[in-house]
Amino acid sequence: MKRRTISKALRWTFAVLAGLILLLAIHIYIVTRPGTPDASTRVMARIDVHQPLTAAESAGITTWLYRQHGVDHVLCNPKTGIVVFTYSPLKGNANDIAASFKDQLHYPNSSRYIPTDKELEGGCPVASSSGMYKFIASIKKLF
Amino acid sequence: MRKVKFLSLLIFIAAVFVSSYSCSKSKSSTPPKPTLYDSLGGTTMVSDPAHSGTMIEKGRLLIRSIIDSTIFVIAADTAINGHFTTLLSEVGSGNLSGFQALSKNLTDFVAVGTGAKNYTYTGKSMTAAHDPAQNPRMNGKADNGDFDAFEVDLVTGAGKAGVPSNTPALMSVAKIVESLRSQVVQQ
Repeated sequence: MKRRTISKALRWTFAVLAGLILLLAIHIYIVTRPGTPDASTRVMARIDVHQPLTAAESAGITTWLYRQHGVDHVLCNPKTGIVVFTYSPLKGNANDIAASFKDQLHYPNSSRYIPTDKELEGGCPVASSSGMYKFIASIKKLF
Repeated sequence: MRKVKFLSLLIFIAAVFVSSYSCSKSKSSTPPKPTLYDSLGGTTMVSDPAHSGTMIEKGRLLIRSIIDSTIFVIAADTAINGHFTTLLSEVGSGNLSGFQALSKNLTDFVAVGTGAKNYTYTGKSMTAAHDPAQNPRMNGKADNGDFDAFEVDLVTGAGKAGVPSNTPALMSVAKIVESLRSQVVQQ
C-alpha cells in the first residue's frame, strides 16, 4: 500500500515537472521569438567593393547609397574598399541594394558581405553568452 | 498586546529619527559635483532624432551619436572588424538588430562610466568580456594593436559625429577608454 502511494506520488511529481518544463519552454519561445521590425528598426549591411577606391569614387558611392530607399547612414572606407550602411528593413532590402550597387555603379566584383555562423560565434558579445542565453538559444532552435 | 504596542512605538520613534536625520543631512550637504556625463549634456531632455515623438537625455544622445559613428568606422576597418561581425546580423529577442544591440550596450557602458544615473550596464566586465576563457565569443585575446585601432576609430567616429578630437569632454572619455587598456589587452 505504502509502495503504491510512493509510486503514485512520484508519477504525479514527474508529470507536474514535465508540464512545468513544457510551459517554461513555450514561455521562453513566446518571449524571445523575433518580433516584426518597426519604424525605428535599423539593420547594418556591408558591401565589399574588392577594388581600390579614390576619394571621389568613395564620395559618389556615399551619395548614391543615401539616395536608396530606407538607407539612413552610410560610411565608405576607400582604403579598405568596404561600404557600410544602415537601413530600415520596412523600406529597403540590403540584397536588392547590393545588386543595384553592382549594376548601376559598375563595380562587377562587389558583393554583400554576410558573416558565416563561425564568424558570428567569434564576434563581439552583443548577446549574452551566459548559460541562460545558451539554454534560451537551444529552446529556440527546437522550434 | 503591550509588547506589540511597545514595538510599534519603537518603530515609530526610529522612523522619525531616520527621516529627521536624512532631512537635516540633505539641507547641510553641498550640491553634488558635476560629472563628466553632465559636461556631455547631462540629463536635460531633448527630442530623440532616431525615434520621433520620444525624448532622450542630452548626454546619452551625444554618447550614442559618437558610439554609432564609431561603430560605422569600425565596421569598415579591416584591422578590427573581424571582432564585430555580429553587427551584420539579427540578435536577441524582439526586433533588435546587431547594430542596435551593440549601440545600446556600448552607450549604456559609456553613459554609466561617465556618471549617468538613469541607466544601467548589464553586460560583462571588461576583463571577462575580452577573456576568451570567460567569453567564448571572443576569438582570441586582443593585443595592443587592436586597442590602438579601436582608439583611432573612436576618435574618427567622434569627428564624424561632429565632436572634434580636442573637445575637453571627449578627451576625458578617451582617458577613461585608455584606462581600460590593461583589462582589454590580455596578451
